[in-house]
Amino acid sequence: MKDDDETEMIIALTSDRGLCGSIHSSVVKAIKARLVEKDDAKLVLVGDKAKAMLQKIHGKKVLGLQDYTRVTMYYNSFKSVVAFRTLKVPLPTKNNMTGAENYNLYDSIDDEVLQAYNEFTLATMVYYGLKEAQCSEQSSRMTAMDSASKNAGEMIDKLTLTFNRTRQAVITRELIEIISGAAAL
Amino acid sequence: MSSYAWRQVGLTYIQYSNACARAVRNSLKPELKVDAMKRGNSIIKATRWEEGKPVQGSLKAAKGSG
Repeated sequence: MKDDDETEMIIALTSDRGLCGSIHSSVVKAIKARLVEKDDAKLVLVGDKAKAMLQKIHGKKVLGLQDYTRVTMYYNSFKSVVAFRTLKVPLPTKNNMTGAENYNLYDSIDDEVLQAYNEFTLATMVYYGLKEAQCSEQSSRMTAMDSASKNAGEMIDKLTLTFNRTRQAVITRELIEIISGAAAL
Repeated sequence: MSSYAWRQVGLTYIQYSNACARAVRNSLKPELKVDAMKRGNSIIKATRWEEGKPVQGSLKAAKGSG
């Protein structure tokens, strides 16, 4: 099946709150890159941040309901407290499963069971993505706020020094003027 | 195996599974029931989009399982 024939649905996992560094923008960036390759993909947006970033240009692509040959979920996977990776994971559709290599290893699979399993896997994968995204967002927010506080602290220190220096310079100048004025009398 | 009864009525597997879970939670002893009932709640707001604009009637503004 050529790439043109495939219908694709993209799921973006973000949340509503900001102040978390590049969490939301990295998911949106990956999705925008994919939309350049495949312009007619449809979108499902989880979270206000994804909606805000994508609705202007790609608003028409937000989901209507139909069958898709390929479903991809973009989320942030937790790597460590200071690092996260934006990953995409394909979610299983019925076509994918029946076409899989090891499909024949399983017996007593009929359409019913496959459909039920497909739905279950979809829910589970989305839940997994949400958990990972939540974790990455929490740690990213922690590091972002931490560096923001540190930067603010440094700025306060530098500005305090400048302030004191200026204040002392002004006082010194006034003293000099007074003294030279007094000396001139 | 022919079509499941719940499938014929129009439920998805997820809805069927949630209904079963609700039934189990309902049958717990009172002390354990309180905690279990909290696990069944979910707050989700979904909005259907039409032509690039969100349509006001949301798909499912559900508080509670299902």
